[in-house]
Amino acid sequence: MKLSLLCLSKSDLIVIEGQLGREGGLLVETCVLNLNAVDLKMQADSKQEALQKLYHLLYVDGAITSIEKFADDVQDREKKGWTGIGNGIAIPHGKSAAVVRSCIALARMKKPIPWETIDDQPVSLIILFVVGEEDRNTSFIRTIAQVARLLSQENFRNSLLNCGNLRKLARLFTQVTVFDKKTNLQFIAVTACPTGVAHTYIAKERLQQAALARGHSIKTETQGGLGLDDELTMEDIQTADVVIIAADIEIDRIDRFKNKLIVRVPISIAIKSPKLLFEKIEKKLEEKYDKNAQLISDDRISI
Amino acid sequence: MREATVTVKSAEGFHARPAMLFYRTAIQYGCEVYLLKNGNKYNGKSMLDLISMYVIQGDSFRIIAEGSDENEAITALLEQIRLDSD
Repeated sequence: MKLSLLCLSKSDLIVIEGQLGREGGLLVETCVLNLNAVDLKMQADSKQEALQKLYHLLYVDGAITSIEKFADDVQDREKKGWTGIGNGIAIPHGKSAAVVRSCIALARMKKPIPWETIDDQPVSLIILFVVGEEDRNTSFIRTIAQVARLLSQENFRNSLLNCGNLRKLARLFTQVTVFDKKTNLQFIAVTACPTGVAHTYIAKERLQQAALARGHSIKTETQGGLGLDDELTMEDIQTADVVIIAADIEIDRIDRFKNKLIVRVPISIAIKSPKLLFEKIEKKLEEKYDKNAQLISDDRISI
Repeated sequence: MREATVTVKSAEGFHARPAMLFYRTAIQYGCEVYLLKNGNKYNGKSMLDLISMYVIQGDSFRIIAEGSDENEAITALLEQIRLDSD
């Protein structure tokens, strides 16, 4: 993990380190691509056969509750207009009550199949948007727009057509916002101050109150004069979305948070304006999700 | 040059189907067709560009047609959008 520098203004000093959605806990849960519904060597002779195979994968995965219902909804959409967008790519989509979890299913064809396309070319890549009722409007448009933007990059298309490894494939899609974006985050925090008598514990209280008030969960480890309390377990760390380090001194064992998204603040911010702190983190994460074009390659964001 | 502003009323926004309809109308004309939204320019004759616009309910974008048949193009595009949103 590259460590980033402090970005500060006089009144405010917050640093976010780490790569959102890359190596950290966010990747696995939040990749828009449903890796159980990916077939990189699909054999099918027709559009219907290929789609049926994808429905089956989705059903086994649990993303849809009924193959028939979902198939009907995709078919309805297909009847309304072409989904072959040229360059051998099709983007069928089903907005359906049968969808439990919105996601993208993907098939790469061993040999191209006939499809209604704008350039009369057969299709070798099917990107199926599986969309639940709650995602049918804004979040679907956002996702499809992000995918389209990626597809217009030749590099991305080539990687998509040649990538043989699911994990790599998932990475290609990490810049696409997941449908049901998590709004309730899981935080872990470490508080510490030079004397370790009062601030460490007050900061903990303040962080806990503010996080819970905003619907997040949080566990805070204190590294104070009394030693280390409520030590974070490996499990706490693994499942956390964001790590807050509120400290004016170097904390012990920071290496535990390798590859996590870390937000560093002086302890005074945790004490004086914890609510603002969480608001800013939420906002930054939101922006970072939405700023798909410039991606996550820039691993430093400043608040 | 002809220009028009469109505000999207549909809850579904300007999604894949309207984009496809727009595309298929636009390519029938020789003039250049492009769209502007939030300072970004999109080619009205590129499906990927149209889909990547990210226009949701309440958003506006501008359509610009430039070329010998720009009048016909803009009329047809607006008509097509109007029909689709009925």
